[in-house]
Amino acid sequence: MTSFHTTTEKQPNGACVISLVGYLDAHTASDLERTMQETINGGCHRMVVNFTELEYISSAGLGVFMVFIESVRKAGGDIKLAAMKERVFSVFDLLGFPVLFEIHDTVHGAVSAFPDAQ
Amino acid sequence: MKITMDQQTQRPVMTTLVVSGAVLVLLRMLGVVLWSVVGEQAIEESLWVEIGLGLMSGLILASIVATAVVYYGRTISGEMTYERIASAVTTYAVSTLALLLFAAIVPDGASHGRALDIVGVVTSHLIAVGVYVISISLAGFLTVMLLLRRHQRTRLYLMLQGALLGATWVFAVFDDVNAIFGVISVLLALTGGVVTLMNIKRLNWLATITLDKKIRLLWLTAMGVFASIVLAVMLAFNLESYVTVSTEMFLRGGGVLPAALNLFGFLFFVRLFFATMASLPNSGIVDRRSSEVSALSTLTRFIAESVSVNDLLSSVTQHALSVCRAHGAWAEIYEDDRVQVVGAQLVSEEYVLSLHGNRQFHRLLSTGDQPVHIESIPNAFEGGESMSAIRSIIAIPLVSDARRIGTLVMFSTIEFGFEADDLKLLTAFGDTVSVGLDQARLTETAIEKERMQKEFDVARNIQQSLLPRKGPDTDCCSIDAVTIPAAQVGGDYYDYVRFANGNLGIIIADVSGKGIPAALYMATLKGVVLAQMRSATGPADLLTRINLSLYGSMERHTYITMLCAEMASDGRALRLARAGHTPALLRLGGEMRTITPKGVAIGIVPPSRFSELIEEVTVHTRPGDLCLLTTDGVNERRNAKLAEMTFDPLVEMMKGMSSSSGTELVRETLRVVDMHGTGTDQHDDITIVGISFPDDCETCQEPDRMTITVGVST
Repeated sequence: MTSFHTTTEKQPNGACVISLVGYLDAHTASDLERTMQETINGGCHRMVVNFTELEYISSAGLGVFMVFIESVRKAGGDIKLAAMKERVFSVFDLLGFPVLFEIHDTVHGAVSAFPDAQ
Repeated sequence: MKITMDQQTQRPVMTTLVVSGAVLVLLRMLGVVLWSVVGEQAIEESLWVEIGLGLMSGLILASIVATAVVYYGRTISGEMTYERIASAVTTYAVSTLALLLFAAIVPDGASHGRALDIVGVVTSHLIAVGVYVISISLAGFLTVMLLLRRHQRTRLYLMLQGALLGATWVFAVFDDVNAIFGVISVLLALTGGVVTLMNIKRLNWLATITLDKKIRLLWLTAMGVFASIVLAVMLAFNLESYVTVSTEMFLRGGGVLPAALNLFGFLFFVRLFFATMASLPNSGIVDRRSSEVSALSTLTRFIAESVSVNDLLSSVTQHALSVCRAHGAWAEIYEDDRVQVVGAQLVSEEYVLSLHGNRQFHRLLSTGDQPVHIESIPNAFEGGESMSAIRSIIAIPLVSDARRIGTLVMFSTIEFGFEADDLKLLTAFGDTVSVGLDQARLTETAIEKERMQKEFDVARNIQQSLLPRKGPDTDCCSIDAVTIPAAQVGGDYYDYVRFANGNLGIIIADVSGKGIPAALYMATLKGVVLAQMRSATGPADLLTRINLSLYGSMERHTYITMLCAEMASDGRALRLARAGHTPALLRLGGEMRTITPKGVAIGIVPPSRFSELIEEVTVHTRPGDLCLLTTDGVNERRNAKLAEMTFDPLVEMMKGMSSSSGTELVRETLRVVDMHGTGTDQHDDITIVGISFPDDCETCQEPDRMTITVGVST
């Protein structure tokens, strides 16, 4: 019914940009969970999630970010969210997620928010 | 000829016939003794004596025939089987040979038409009656044979044969008058023989009996051939033999009837002998086909009855073993790359598993979709010599749901132990089993589904019982609610509580995710709410306490959004706190408001952060005001074009509502949601709580309608 896929791109400062495309719901959440787990297993703890092309997010989709945030922060990294559509942001906002995650207007802004030193 | 007589009447009738026949024989013997032994005269010397004795002989014959008719009339129904024929042929051959032996060893007690002494009278009568009993029984047996395997003209032929017999006899009697009658008599007898042959052309029951039975039948018919030809020839041509003399003395021309009957019997036995001989070569095939058919039909029946895959496979290996030349068999099932041995016959599971240690052998068995026949394992495999027990195999793939799930393996302890036939048969077997496996799997799935369905029903009932059945008792407002899970159970929750100050609290919550996990968290949440409500000073305090209880104890990706409203005791104010939940919709006066107090969902941040971030909003209400609490399943309900409903139609609906009951507000909201989602499945749980402040409630004027308090108020 709905389609979802991700692409991962490594930035010069060591941040990994995970771009989400499509619908993130209970069915597709496991795809994102796998992608993020692989990224972490690959040694990258500085993650920027690019929401530019994400059309929809459900409660199960939001849960994915909660799974990893603690371990990533313990490892000295972070998960920063960027470039959300208004509607997607309002879902995050209603839940109070902005207190847990840094949310940036642009991917560039999120990537540069990580200190340069690797 | 059809005698319908039950067992009870049959027995006395037969007894009467036999006894009267025996009495007649004794009387006749007495007559012969008086006339022939005492009077020393030949029987034919007096016409009246001969007629009298002849009449008695006729009556004796009649009683024998009647007994035979009653006896064979009973057996005329049913199928021709090997057992019936074998026992009849045995009886005939043994009694005939015994009679011939008896006649050969007793001294001749008759000469020139007269009995010499009393012993002669007795022996000649015994022999004559014996000949007739044997011959008439033979005739009875032949008739039954022919009637059981009858074709269109059987009855006609039988009647023709009877007429020929009678004519033969009559002509034979007049042989003395003119030799031409004797010739005609012989010709008639031969014609009768031809008719017999025409009548017995079908012997197809022979094809269905096994090889060893056929060989036994060959011996029996050979004996029958011998006995019948000796008796027939003796009666017809050897006028000096005691058998012939006895029958002739019993009745003039009396040898003709038994001679003709035995001739027919001889022809039948010869025919049967050659037919049996001819069907010998294909006996092996017949034997196999019959065991194949019975094994396949047993298998099919078993498949229809069996519900478990393992039971089925055990039975399959057992049956497969019985239809081919294998020395052992097993079935194996592949699950998650593991080999499971089922129904091993004449081989141990450990041994089979050890065979899979040979990679080449394992690959051969478990891959490919065609049956495999290896004639010589030692030649086909490296290390094949070490498989001491298994020299040749046939492996049949088992397929279920278009997936290779296992193999049926037959092995032989000799090289080249199987034939091409075995492969074909076992392939057919494998196909049948695959169908059975599909069926067993479907049955298992159906049972599992039904069990799950029942458990879900129970879970649903339990969950429903966790939710309040009716609105709270309160004078100031009317409250109602409904929840509709997307699956049988859901993660939505609503409840009515009492705070420490005795005020009414209204709760709505949504556990992230769906189904059983969400339902379990929902039940946990209910417990926490019950435990905390009496100590809570207000909505924000209750939510903070709940977060304190649940934070860190839930799965990481799970969180709960909640909204809690406290009704002032006079019903003129609502104090609202929100933990990440969908906003509350209020109609205050004529004005629509979306109330979204700040607060994060439960389970996301630690208790210290949570209480810092939560705020309360107090709304002062007046009669006619409405408050609608929902979960996101309402505003995110999608239509056929995947467009979410949003709050807009609800805002319009509430604006136009004139009534004043919570029940009506819930009903109208549900109507709007259903209208939007027409024709699509509900993907998320839907919960609606409607609060209405009735018009007849006393009005209270408040200059400022809303107060916002940050943090937990007391």
